[in-house]
Amino acid sequence: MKALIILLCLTTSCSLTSSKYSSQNPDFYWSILENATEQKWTKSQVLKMLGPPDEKHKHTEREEAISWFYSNRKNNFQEWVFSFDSDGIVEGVSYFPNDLMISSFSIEKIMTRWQSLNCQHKVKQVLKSHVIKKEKSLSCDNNKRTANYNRYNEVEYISVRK
Amino acid sequence: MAFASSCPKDMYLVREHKRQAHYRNDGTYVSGTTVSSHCRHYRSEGPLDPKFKNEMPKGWPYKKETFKQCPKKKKEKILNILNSLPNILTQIGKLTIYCPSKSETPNNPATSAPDDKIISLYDSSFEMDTKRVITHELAHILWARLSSNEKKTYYSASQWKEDPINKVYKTNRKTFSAPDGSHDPEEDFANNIEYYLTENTKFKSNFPQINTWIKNLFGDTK
Repeated sequence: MKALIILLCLTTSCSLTSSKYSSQNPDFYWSILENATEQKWTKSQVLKMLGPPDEKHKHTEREEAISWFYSNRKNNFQEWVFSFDSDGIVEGVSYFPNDLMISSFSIEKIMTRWQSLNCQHKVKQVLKSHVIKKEKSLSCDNNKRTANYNRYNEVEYISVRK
Repeated sequence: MAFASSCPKDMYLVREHKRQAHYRNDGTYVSGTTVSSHCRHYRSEGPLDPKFKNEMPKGWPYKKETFKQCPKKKKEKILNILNSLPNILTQIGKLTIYCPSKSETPNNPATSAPDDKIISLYDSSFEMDTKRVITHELAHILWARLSSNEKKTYYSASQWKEDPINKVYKTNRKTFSAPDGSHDPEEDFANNIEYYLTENTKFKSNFPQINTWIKNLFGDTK
């Protein structure tokens, strides 16, 4: 199913407007999240899947490295970030599930989907000048796949890096 | 019991879990049981229950800080301030307050640990507008208690974006209620709550979208 969606999207002009928001199909989002780094997508493949980004951010400390940001067209909430290396290959992708998708990306669903990837719940202390924070995440595949969640166990974002 | 996976907008789902037998702080015995899945309101920790403590909290990262007893006058001042603040900042159940001498971080009047609902007010916080300092620290605690959707709406209203892979926050805004708000959305949020409550006319004029967002969140809270 995943492969079929990817194939259809890459061979036709499956852009943001034509597919993403009309279908609201969780498989489509999962396939991007899991394939972008694994299949070493280029910028043109991301463009084909999601269209042009809303914003780009160049990483001054890493020459040529860049991130592309996408927002949901309906509510303008941030939805995707793709991080490209200096060769223009996706090195990491983060997805922020919106209201309609949140039940398809719950901690339980992620654990089931990634159960073979040695997932562990982690709590990390993070210091930010005068604030001592605890960040909670589900970490899988040696930290290559993570889902950060809040005190209500709501997934805030899922990241996959190469 | 099979419970709907979605809850009303102002509630979140608590999945079925085992509860160990325990005693509440007031001595009431609570028996062990299996708690069924249910929906619970966000920020439902109940009325403020402030506790003053003298020893360094467990896991406190700033080991060089000296903890001591909070003098009666300071305690009274803190409690008066807490009573004067909007409910959304103070209805957090147990709040542990410390009065250490000095922060390890230069020019820092207070430190908070939002997930453990702790605030440390250093001596210098009593030589400035203490109410602003406490408001700011409680705003950090409020940030940790926002729902995922509330955070999304705040990011949108305040024009923040996040890149978790590179640990970068990005905004196109050129102005902030306080300079360190440009570092990240949480610090910006705490500053904005502080300025919303203390310099509202100016804040409303400079940041109308954020002002509306805070007004909606606060609702008709005291």
